[in-house]
Amino acid sequence: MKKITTALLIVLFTVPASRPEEGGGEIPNKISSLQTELLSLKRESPDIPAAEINKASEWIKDAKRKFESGNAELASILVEKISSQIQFLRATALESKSRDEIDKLNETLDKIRNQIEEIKIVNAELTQEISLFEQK
Amino acid sequence: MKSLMSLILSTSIFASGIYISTASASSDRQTDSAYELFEEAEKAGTERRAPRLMEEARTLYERAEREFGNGNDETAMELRAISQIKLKSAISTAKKEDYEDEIARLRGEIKIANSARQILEQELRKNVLRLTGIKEKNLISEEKMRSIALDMHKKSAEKIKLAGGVSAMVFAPDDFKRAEENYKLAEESLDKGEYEKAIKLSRKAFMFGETAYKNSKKSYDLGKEIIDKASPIYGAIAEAVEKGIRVTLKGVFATSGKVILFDAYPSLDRIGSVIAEYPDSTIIVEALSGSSKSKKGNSELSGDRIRVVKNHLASKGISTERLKEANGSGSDEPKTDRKEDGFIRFTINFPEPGKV
Repeated sequence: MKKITTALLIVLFTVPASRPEEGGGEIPNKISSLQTELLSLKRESPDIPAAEINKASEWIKDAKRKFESGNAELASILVEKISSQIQFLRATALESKSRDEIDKLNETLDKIRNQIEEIKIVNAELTQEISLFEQK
Repeated sequence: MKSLMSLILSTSIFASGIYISTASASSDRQTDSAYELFEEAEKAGTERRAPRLMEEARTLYERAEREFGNGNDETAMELRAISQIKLKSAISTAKKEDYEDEIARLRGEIKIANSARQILEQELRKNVLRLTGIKEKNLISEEKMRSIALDMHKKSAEKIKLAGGVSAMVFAPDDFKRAEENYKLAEESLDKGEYEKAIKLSRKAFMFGETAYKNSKKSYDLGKEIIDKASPIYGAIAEAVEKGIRVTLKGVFATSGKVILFDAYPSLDRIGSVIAEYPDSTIIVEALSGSSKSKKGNSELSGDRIRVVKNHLASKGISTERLKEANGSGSDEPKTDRKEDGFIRFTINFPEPGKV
């Protein structure tokens, strides 16, 4: 009986202790996934400031350290922080892309407006020339 | 706005039973930064543009405050940081949305500008075609003018040549000269590309050439006719001279002789017949004499010979009024070669143009 009780107690203590291990298994995966995502973002959007990328890289290291030191909760928060940072960087990249698009469109619009002005000038010259010929 | 956000955040913090005063100095800085970010986010229109992110940012901020309350400063700081990142994402998203609106507006303007440009380009093409057409038409017209001018010039040249062919320079010198002058001027105008002027000048040249031709033709034909008639006469040489035909009859008189030689009568009579055929013409009679050593002697001999010839012709029915002596008296005749002594020259003068 005593042995059974002892075994049960061992099982009872072992199961809860293994839970953080299982839940914590997601954190390294997430960290790894975020790391990959960050690298991909760096490649895709070279315009993103390196300082912002570096922040996320440092946080990844922090998250790993926290997790390895057994602070899974804080590691999980850091994962959320990294994820938010990546989300922010993506939003920044899109914002920058849109801003670039605006610059390009403004440039295009200016170009067309200049062309319009040029065509107007040429047209005026042609009309004048035609009228001179017609007066002859 | 900052006070409003402060109120919202304070309310949130009080609701969670936590006092801001318990936060660390770093936390205070984060709070200030959060206020500014919330304010910036509101200005950027994040509530409308990125409501989910704003909700997440607020929730995280509240969680952070609760963690501060629980003494979990490190966790709280991280949660605040995440909240701020979310706010920055919201701001960025809102800006992006604004940019998208701007992009849509710009695309619309570009579309309108493109349409305007297309319309102007069409107008431009139309004008270019119109101008090209006008220029081509003018070129054709100029080419046509050039062709007319060249043609007219050629015709005037032909007319002048024709007039020259009937000795217009002799029979109608004024008209012929004016024709030539206008022809030259027309040529100059052609070289300068002044086709209209060239046409006018060529027409004048043609007109004067025509007049010269008409005025010369009858005289010329008359002269030719006389030459044709006189040339076969034995001993006669017929040639055209200014305003007439000169017929030289050889051997009419013997050297120093004043009597017509017997053999010369047939020829002299035939010349008389020719003269008789042209009653409107006047005849200048010259007698060549070079046998005498003195000028006076020769002159007297010539005069005598002329009189003898005139009398003979008068006997054949030719009015003596038509027969004029050379240089009026026959006393100042040109020096004659001995070989030509005894020759008689008749210059048959044509009447003035129009009387022929």
